[in-house]
Amino acid sequence: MKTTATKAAPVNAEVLDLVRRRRKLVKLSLGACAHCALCAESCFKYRNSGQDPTYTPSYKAINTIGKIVKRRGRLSPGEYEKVRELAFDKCVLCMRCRCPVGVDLPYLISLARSACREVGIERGYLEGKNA
Amino acid sequence: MSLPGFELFSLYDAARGPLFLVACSVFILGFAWRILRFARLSSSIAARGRVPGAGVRLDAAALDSLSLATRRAQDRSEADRAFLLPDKGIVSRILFLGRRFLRNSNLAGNPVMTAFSLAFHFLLVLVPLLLPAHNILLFLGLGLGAGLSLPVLPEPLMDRLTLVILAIGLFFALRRIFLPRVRALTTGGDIAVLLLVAAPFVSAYLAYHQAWDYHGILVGHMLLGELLIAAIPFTKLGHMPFLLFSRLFMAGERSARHASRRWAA
Ligand code: HEM
Ligand code: HEM
Ligand code: SF4
Ligand code: SF4
Repeated sequence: MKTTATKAAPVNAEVLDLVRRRRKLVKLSLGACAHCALCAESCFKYRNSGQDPTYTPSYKAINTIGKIVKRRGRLSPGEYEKVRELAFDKCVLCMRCRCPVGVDLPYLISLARSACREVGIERGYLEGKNA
Repeated sequence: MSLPGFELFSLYDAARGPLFLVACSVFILGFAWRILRFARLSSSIAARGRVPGAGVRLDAAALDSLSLATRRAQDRSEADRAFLLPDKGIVSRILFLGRRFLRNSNLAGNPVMTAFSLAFHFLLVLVPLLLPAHNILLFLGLGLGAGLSLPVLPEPLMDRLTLVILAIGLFFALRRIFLPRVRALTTGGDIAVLLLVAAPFVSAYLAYHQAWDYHGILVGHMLLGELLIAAIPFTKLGHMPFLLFSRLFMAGERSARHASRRWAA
């Protein structure tokens, strides 16, 4: 098989381990999410983005660690790049988002950051990626 | 009973008796399973000698010497503490806390959604529970006789409230379709859950008004109601137990002050 940018990268053992240890927790938390978007307005990044739906805290959690857990770490580099954008650029982990159901969003997003670091993805300070 | 309705009637008997008990058992066991998962995925902070919010490791004796009130006070900022001194007067202190509560609540930022959501949730539970028809069937079905009953409200009122529930459900559905931030989160499952919740109410409404085939719709109503009850712990409707545990036991910025657990390491 040829490897292209969209093909899933080889699975990183550390990510697999993180997925294994946090899988149930992530599933329990995101399984309770009512997908109501009430957390959106509690995030200053959402409000300052002109209400861009991809800044909604639960959107960030679902499409980062939620996706990583669901796919057991098998994300392509392009997909990891999207995760990086959501977890590092679109969230500053200020812990201010509120969920009426009690989903711990910053914790979930921080897990996504951990997974990113394991595959060598960091916040792009030098590349000017931190919009 | 006779003729074409015959098979329906045995289904009717099953639906109002054994199937109802099955649905309730699944609900209770599913609920227990969720609680168990919660317990297993978290661990006690007190056992680790930590004071919630303080971030300091203390020995057991020091921990015991801290009253709940002290811990609460420690959690507040200095400005808050100054404002909460007794000489400020009870009214302004209550107003201060009230404003603080509202500011920290995302429901208050969405007053329409809050009102609709509260109405929806209360009615969702209360209307079926306080319905005369349900109470009669429940106590008959359990073989307890017709004498027992929870307090009930008149059926015509319940009929109107059923429409209110359905209207708010429609509001949720429209929100899903037209608000970009909600649509971005919406999956097929969300629509399915809304339909699952609406189904017993739609069928009950049709049955009450004797639309079409009364018995067929009624049996459908019972089966759909039982499906809903059994499905709650296994769908996102399981947000009910999650909320309780997340708020009461998990240490976090919005949890109850005496929260004593954390996600397991
Ligand atoms: C074993 C389960 C159930 C049985 C046997 C049952 C039975 C009935 C019966 C006999 C009626 C009266 C219909 C009439 O007036 O002719 C009724 C009405 C109603 N049921 Fe149920 N039901 C069940 C479950 C549920 C559930 C789970 C819900 C909602 C979550 C529900 C909501 C309603 C409502 C709202 C009405 C009143 C409708 C109206 O007056 O417009 N039922 N049910
Ligand atoms: C302690 C009990 C419960 C609490 C505190 C609670 C809380 C919430 C919250 C905060 C939401 C977010 C959206 C909104 O505000 O409407 C929600 C949504 C919802 N809840 Fe509950 N809930 C509870 C029990 C239930 C039960 C028992 C059911 C159904 C049988 C239910 C059905 C729903 C539905 C269908 C939605 C989704 C609305 C949508 O799709 O936008 N809830 N709930
Ligand atoms: S995280 Fe909470 S507030 Fe946000 S969509 Fe999910 S249930 Fe709603
Ligand atoms: S932690 Fe992230 S998602 Fe939550 S409010 Fe802060 S920036 Fe928004």
